[in-house]
Amino acid sequence: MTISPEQLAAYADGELDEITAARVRRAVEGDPHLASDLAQLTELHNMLAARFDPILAEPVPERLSSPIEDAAKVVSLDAARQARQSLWQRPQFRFGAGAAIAASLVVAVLVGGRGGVPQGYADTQLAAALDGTLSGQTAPDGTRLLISFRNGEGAACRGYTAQTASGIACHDDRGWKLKVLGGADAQQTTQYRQAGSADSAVMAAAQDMAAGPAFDADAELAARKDGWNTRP
Amino acid sequence: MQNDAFLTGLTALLPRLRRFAAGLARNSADADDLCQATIERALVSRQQWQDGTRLDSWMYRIMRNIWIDTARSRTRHDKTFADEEAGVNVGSMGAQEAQVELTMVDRALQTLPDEQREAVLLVLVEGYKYAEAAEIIGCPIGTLTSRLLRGREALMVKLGEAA
Repeated sequence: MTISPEQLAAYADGELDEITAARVRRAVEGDPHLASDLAQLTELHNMLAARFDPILAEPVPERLSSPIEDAAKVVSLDAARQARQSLWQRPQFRFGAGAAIAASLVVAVLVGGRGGVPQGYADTQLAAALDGTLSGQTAPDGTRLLISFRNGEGAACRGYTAQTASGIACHDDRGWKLKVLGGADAQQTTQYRQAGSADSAVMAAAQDMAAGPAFDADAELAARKDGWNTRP
Repeated sequence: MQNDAFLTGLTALLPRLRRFAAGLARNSADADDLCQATIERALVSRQQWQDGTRLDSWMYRIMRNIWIDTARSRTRHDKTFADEEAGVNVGSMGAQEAQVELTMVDRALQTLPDEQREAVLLVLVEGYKYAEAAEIIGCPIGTLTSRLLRGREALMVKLGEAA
């Protein structure tokens, strides 16, 4: 029988069933031309492997690995909500429309973090709101500050909602690191607003993260004066 | 949790994604740019990945689609420029025959039409079965095998001439 180029290639690629493969093998053994063609196929395979396989052993550049590491550190509000539900079986705890896009926002904000600000940190505008605005007040850019507290590491953390995203950021020596990100505050534009769903999600996440009680007004003023430094 | 499995899987795939990108892109800087764009898109669209399905095929498909999109927007001028660059590289490689040969593989690959190049890379470099490669590209198996055959023959001619 004759072996087509397709069949010979499929044989070299291990794509043939056993019976067909055995037939090709016999044909190759009895035909020097086929054997030479097969050797060429193998040779090409080897040349490609010699060119590309060493890349597998190279160290992966940080710019490729760090976005994944950052994403692993940020807990989405959506995940926090699910964890709470499964823990306490609280079906009444519901997210609003923001929840559906919460998890995608987590990363969208992260990978967008460029222009001088370390990846995974609040941008200049949000950082200004976190630095200067007290809880219960609204920053000039519309970001509302909800709560301040210290996490298990003693870092000062603040929950906020803004038009594009809500979340919790904790202060360290590089700035405000975004720890939890959630959906937008859908009711931001309503002047006399009720506590929105983004608010309750942020408050719930804050409750999970906080090592002690939330700051009262005095503690918050002191922390602000202190530059939101970490206290053991 | 699904999130952890996703991110761990992504990290584990990085070396392979870099290898695939190196074959698609024209130089190593472009390759890592392509890799980075792929990771960013995967992170943003991670909800579209279904737990239990193969993460590697999903990632390769993303990379392949980004590459096709950028390749389409490139002009002929870019291509000429790239060929010149490749020529310069060969000269600067020096006496080491092995390195010159590696560059010849790159140059031979670059002469292939995109659809043949991706077929060759997915099957011969990445080791995918025909059916898997066809699924990543989004074409019938028959189309994949004929592109692979043509690409492979063209490569053997190019590399045979150079040898």
